[in-house]
Amino acid sequence: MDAAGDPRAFLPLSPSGFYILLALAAEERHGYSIGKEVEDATGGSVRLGPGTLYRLIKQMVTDGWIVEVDRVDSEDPRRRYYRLTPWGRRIARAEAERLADAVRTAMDRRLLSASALA
Amino acid sequence: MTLRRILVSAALLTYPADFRAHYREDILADIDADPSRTGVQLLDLVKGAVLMHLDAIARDFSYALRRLRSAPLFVAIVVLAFALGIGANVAVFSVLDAVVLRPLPFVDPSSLGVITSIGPRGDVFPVISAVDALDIASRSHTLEGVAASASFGQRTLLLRGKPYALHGLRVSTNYLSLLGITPRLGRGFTIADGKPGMHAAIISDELWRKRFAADPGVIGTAIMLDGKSYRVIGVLAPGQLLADPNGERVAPEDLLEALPANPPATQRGARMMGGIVRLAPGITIERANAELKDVSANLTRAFPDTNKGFAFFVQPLSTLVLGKASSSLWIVFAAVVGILLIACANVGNMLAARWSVRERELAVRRALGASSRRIAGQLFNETGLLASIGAVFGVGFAYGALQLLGGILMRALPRAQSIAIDGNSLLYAIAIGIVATLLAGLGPVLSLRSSDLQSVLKSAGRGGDGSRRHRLRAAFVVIEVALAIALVIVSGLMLRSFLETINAPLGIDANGVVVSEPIELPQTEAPDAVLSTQRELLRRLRALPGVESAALALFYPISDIELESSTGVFGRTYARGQEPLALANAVSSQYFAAFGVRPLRGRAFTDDDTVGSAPVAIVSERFVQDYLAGIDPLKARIRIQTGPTQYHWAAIVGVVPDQRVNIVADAFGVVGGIPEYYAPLAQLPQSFFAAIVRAPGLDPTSAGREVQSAFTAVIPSQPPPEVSTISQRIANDTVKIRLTTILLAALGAIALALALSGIFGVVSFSVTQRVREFGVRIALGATTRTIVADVLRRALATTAIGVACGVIITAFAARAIAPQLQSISPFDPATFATVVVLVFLSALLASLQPALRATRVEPAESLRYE
Repeated sequence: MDAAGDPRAFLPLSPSGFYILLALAAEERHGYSIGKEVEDATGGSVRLGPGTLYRLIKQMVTDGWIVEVDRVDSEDPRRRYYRLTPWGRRIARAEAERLADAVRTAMDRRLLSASALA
Repeated sequence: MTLRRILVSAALLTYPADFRAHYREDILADIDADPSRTGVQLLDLVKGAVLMHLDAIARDFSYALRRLRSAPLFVAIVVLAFALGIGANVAVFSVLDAVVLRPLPFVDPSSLGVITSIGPRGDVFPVISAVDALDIASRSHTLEGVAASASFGQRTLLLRGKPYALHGLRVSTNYLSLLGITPRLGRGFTIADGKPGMHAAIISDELWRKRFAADPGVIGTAIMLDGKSYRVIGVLAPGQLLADPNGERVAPEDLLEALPANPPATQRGARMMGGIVRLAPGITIERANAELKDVSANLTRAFPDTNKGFAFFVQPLSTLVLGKASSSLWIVFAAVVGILLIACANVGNMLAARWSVRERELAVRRALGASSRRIAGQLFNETGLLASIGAVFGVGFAYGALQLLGGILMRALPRAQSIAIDGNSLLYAIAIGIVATLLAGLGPVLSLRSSDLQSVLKSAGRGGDGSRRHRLRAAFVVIEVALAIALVIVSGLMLRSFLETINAPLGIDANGVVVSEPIELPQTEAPDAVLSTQRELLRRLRALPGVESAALALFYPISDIELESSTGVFGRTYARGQEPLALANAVSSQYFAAFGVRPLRGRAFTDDDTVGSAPVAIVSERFVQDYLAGIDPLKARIRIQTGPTQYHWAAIVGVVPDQRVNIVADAFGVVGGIPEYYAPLAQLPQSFFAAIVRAPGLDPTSAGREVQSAFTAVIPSQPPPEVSTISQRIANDTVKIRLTTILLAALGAIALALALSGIFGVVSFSVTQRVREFGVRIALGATTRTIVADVLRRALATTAIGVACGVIITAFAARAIAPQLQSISPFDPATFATVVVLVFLSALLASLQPALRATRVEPAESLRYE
């Protein structure tokens, strides 16, 4: 976890991992909420089961991309909340830029039309 | 506790404990929130666990790789030890698998047996007469069927005017169905094929492709074999193996002929067939043999003239064919398993030494709660990684070794053509790799676990290598060195004996000599015709460019043929059964010249010694010594047997030096030094003879071809005989001992390499333990030389103990192999001395790197070592 390091060394991220980071980009969430958010954002095509989800969450906590926060959910006190770290945010941004580059290239090569971005 | 919770809790058990503790509640809550998807989620849980474990393994491997990169010499030695141990095992297993373990290629091979006769003098042979075979078949209830087979040596196939030599079997009509063999084309034999006058033949796939262009129309056509017409009724499947009991082999054959179904009853005593039986379903060999005892007794009662004193029993076909090879192979297998154990112990020693450096750190971590499973896991990871790399190299070694030995294996072992590194061998390599990892890692893991924090902390700072563990390791190295010495000396003795054997003086000058296999002219030819054929053949051979001399003879040195005859000296009488025996050879003129032999007395045969002239003979030195003591040989006459009852008296005209008969002792222990007499070929006509040609300037292969053309020109109805040089014949005859020698040498080399790596490991470890001591001594001014001498002295002391033990073991072992050694004493001092010096020098080399490492200890660092 090196604040001065290059996040691009960790690219490309697995799709599931990227979606988890995306889900945490705007706000803190607990595990279940992350899963739901990913499902919504991808229109149901990416569903993270508990094994995948928590395995990735544990890995990201260990690597310092996300942290647990001391927030208790009013509805379900069992749940733990997570937040992106600045380092994790930089990694997510780097991956998003990489994907954007890929999209731009696809548009240049006429694989995608501008209307796809609408 | 709903079913859902139970299932989830069970799935969670596949995760590491800390993960489980931390995320269990979250996961349960998630599952509860989406009850409809429980099934999919459970699957995902298990998948996650698998991936997590794989991740951990991958991380441990890259950690292990990083650690290993910093110690390339250690890695090299350990990988080599694994490679040698695993490679040797894979190679031997591949041979064992192809030769012994694979079932014979027949239907239900375990119920197949061979009828074996015990004769009145107690000799045991796997032969029977066709008549007895039929009676056994009809009188036995425990045998489902009896088939007879006999090898016919050689038949000549005449195809479009060209002769080809074929080998094969004459078999009873139920042979193929008994073994469960179905021809690929056409049909097998039926009872009708056994009727007199029906010459039915089945050919091999190879013969069909090579000589009949794989034409399916060959079925039903007639072929000429030895001048008789045979009808081809079937073609066997490619690579089909056939059982030949009296040849004690299972091998491919060119041709099968049907035996007549009703052999004349008068031939009951002609025991020349092999009898293959199939046990009836559910019958054991013991029951079959019990019944066979009664059947034998009945036959003896009914036909006392031929069957008195004969008993029959059944032995399993696989025992007959594979038995001899099997026992030696299992011994070799035991040897390589032993080598693997030594290799694993070696590696274990080295691993323990390497990990003991971290002993304190590990003890502290364990005291603070780190799981010792994790540490054991890391150690096994490292070992497993090294073992895997070693296994890959080992399989490579095994492949190379089998390629190198391929030729010898094919000639020395049955079914050797199917030896290969195949799927079975690779599976075995993986299994052995896992076993090796466990064995090698077990010792260090156990010793690391047992060291508790207190005792480790107490002993830390003192270092030193006087610990009990170190002495145990040193003791183990002593055993390794002793075993290596024994193996290397024994293989050295075998090697010298082998070299003496193939370089043994033959009594002839075999340089530039080409000899042929014997051919046989048809018995129907009149003696005059035989003689003129031989004269013409000699004329052509002697006319070949580059040929100094050429001769024909019944047999010659290293020909694998010996003919003995009783003889007598004119004027002496002998009691019945006490007549002198001698090897009896019939040779043309120039026989002795062709072998570069000059008579010691008198002369050799000339072309004038022919049919009408006075009968003459030449005798060997030994003959003179044994039978002509006190007489001038050139004035004596000896009796030469010219027929079953006919003989004539021949005047001895020459005495020649003894010739070596066999390179390796034959069944009667004969190698040479036997009385021998020679008669002129013309005076002792033979339709069976071989050619000897002396052509020193010619290349043997082209000389051989010329000889073969001469044969074809003079005897076009037969394929020309194989030709070879005497050294090729010697190589052929020594195949089995060459294989044994090579194997022993290889095992000796491996054992030595392992022992040396063991020495390296122990010395290395000792140096590591004594780092503080060296630091202090260097700080106090000890020179490089003193330190190196100290380390080397201890290493050599351990080696010396091992060498001493090894020499003692060898003294006992050598006595056991003495019968295999020709002309070398089993206690040959030169061999012993060479090996001992070699081992000491190598031990010195192996200890050098650790010794030098000891001198590079930084005194300040070493004192700060903890």
